[in-house]
Amino acid sequence: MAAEQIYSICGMCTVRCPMVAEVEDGSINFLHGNPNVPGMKDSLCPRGVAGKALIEDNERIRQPMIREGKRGEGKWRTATWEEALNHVAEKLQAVVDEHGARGVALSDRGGPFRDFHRAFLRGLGSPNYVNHDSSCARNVQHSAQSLMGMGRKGVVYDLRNAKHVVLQLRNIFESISVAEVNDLTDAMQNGCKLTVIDIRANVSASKADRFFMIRPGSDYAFNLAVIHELLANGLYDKDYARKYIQDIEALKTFVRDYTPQWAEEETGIPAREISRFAAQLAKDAPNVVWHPGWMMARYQTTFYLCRSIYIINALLGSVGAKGGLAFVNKPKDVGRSGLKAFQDLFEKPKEKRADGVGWKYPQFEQGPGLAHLLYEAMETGDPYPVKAYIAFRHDPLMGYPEPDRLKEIFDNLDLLVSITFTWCDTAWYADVVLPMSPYLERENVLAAKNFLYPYFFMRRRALEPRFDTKADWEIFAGLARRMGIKELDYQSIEDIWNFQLEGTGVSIEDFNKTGVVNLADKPIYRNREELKFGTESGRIEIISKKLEDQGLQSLKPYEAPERPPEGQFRITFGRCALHTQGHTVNNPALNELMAENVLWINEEPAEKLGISDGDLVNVSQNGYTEQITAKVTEFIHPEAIFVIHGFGHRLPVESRAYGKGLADHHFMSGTLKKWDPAGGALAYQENFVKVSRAV
Amino acid sequence: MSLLDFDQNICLACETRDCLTRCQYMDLDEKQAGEEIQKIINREESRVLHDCRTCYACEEYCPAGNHPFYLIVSRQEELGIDPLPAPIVKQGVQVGIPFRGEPEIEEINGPVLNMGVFSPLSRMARGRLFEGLTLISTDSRKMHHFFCQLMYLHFARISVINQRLPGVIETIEAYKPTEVVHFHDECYGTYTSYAPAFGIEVPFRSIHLFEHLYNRLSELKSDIQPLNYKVAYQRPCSSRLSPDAHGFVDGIFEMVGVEHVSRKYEDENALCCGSTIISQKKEGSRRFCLDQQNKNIEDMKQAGAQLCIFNCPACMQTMGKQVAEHGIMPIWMSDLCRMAIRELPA
Repeated sequence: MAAEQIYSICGMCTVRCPMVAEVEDGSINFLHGNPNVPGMKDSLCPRGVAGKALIEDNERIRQPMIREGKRGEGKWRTATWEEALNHVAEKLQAVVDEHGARGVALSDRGGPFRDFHRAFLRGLGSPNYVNHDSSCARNVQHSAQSLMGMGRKGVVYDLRNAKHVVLQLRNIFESISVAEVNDLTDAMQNGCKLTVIDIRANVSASKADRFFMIRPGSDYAFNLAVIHELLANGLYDKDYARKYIQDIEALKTFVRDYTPQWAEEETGIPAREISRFAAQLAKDAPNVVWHPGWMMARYQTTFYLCRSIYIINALLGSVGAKGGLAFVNKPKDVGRSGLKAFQDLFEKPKEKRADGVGWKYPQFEQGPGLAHLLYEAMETGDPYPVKAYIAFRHDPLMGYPEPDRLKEIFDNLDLLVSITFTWCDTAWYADVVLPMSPYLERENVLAAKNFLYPYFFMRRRALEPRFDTKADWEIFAGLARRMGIKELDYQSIEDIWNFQLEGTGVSIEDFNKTGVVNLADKPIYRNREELKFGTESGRIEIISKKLEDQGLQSLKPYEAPERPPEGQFRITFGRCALHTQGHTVNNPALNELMAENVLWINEEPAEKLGISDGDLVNVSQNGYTEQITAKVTEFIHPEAIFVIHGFGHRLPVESRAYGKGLADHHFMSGTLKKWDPAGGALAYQENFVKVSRAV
Repeated sequence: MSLLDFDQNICLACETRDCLTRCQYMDLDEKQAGEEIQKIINREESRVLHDCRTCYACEEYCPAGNHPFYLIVSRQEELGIDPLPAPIVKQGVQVGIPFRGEPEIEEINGPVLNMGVFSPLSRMARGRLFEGLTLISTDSRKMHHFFCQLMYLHFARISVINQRLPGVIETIEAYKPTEVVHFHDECYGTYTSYAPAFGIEVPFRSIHLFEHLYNRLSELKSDIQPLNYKVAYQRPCSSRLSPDAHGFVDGIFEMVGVEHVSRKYEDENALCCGSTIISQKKEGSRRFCLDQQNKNIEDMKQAGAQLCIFNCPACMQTMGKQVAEHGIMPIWMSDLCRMAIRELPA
């Protein structure tokens, strides 16, 4: 039997790379990228290829589980789907009856396949949808909105056509979007320069033309000096600024004293290097992408760092430019209709959000809210009790700081449900675990990508589920059926797809050939002479009325970050190409390649502490200690230590990951309450630890 | 400036075009090969410069020793045709820069074993087989001072090799070795093939690890216990630069009492491990790499091999696991020899 080519979407991380599964006799032969999607070629990253190992993993959850012992005790009974869905529906209904629908919350990890489960929550009548973004890119999103009146995804990073790419706290070659990697690779092949600014020489730095090892927390100082150079030396795009940047004089005044010489003291980067770098950017403008970052939940002021990045891009004229931050096109921009949304079947709930977003904090976007503030509401009951929580493909106990405190908060819940395809800390602490089929064993609602040319894409089921698991649409349709939300009572994915495609002129069959349906036949770049931003003025607003009205500065003076106390280090974390945070650490193939994390520590302090490369060391904070192997290197700033996030698993059901490595989120005492008042995201990197050689 | 010792007249007069017609990754007949060679000589675009998998084999195939592979790589660099993606080239070139101070050098005035850039594998050079050799480059922090640089042939960076190699030679020579046994084929190929081809003077005498092992086994002959395995050998690309040393493979196998199974992909027909192929990141290169590896391993299985012998760390890393998954034990050549004299593998 010949292998069948099934178009799918990778589910090993949140990027969702389009891919192809070659299936023969009911098993996966080969996985590769979908070559019909720009930038993908036929590539996948190591995690994408490990999708096959995910399917073959016998340690994933095989059937619905209902808790019997105490939360987190690990005493479970298996249940049929009928029983499990009935159980969840009854518990949800009880919360709705007692506290109203607003007593139910749901979180996920974002992505393009959210419409159906968000519609479920809206159908129930609850406003309390949040995603993981307050632990990730909220500062980026809000900074983009404050300047440009549109979100961070209103532009695409046109790496393929760039002449200079700057990565600051963004590690493209390890925190991977396959298309981004391929596009940047091709651009570099054509002479594009790469500059990396980070506290350690990561893999991206090893491929860079310039690498600035910056003092942790001083990035904003560096950027202010770059802005100073661009403005003071007339290196910015004056025509663009005249047309599109409002309040540039205020910016000039603001950065007057932020000279490269001043920044050298703060950042450790020589002033002449900053000046040369700014001059080089000006030469490469407007084909410059200074990447605004992904995970920017770093400090309580990172929002302003993100704003400075967008401001630099604007001064270079790269916002809206080919080879810069080009505007995306939505279906309607190319004269087409978008997918019909299930959420639109229901009125937007009129209740205030429990996290305060939109009313207590009007500066923040309501969509995905702020999860840590939702958790605060769960704890305090203010503004009202939230008593049921569905964590959908989301593991806050691994992804958010202070897991023990979070568990105490979750103890206030009447119902905690985890919908997941692998065991995770939140599932282990849940009352009910509803096992979702891994992405190769399920289909999803259709999704649309706003891009240079917009397209619809489809994830098909490549294999039938090995175990008693279900697709997410089956789970939510089952709950909707039981809770009287008839609009979502679907029995087949084809009916769902047909609903979404109504009025688009596209049919299910149109996806057969390539897995995607392009809504334009070539990339469309906006005319740089006719750009229109989403702000009131239609321009990039340096002074944001929305911020100022909230008592927040548009141009915040630099404040030096606290330095680590003597004998301590700032604990930092990041990604590598082999793992997606915690949820791949137990994957058989990926665990074999990297079973545990190591502690990067600079060789100078290591020598003072008597620590050699490969030594076992203690990492301590407030009397809590974990052990990890040291990687002694000069490629990290002496003030910081670094680990790959997601390790230190303690679940007995994850035999491969169990007990290996260090869990950085255990060393973030008080961080659930440390967040950026302007950007909304948590400040993960404001924590210090002691390191000593283990005896 | 180092210039390649290449005589275009030899190529133009060549009747076989073996360098390209025997290539296992390009399908060229004699006429096409002649045309492509002409283009390469003329510094013109040639499909060979784009399709080359950098397996080094043409360097061995050339009956006249006219260095076709070095020529191809030189032209790739001159014409800006990188065999690997630019970020990988950048990273690779930067990785080879010594950065942690100078090595501490003492004059040996005797034979040395040069670990090159494989200091972390120093543990393998233990036991009676290595008695009398002083190891150099055992500190992984400073191993790039000993890095022969030949890896950059895969990167089309002749300029980097030629710039850095004299310094590396100077470092090794500072030990005042009477002879240098090279742990890795690539080092041996550098000092016995590449350097002479580019007119770079090498003041020390080089010995291939296999020659050393053969000689030591000869001295320890009475202690050898035949192993009686059927073995296949994964020939590394850099071995193409030293076909003289390849002759010791069968000598060692005979000495330790193993049967070198007869198969399709051996000696001059050996297949690349796939390490570079997969790094090329061309469309289809991952699948092509897997196909090559499957062909290679299937060939070993068909021939009845119980062990697969490796000498190159890159080959071992790339193929070792797959070989093991097919029921063939991957093992280092030096470990095979140790087993024959009843020492435990490293």
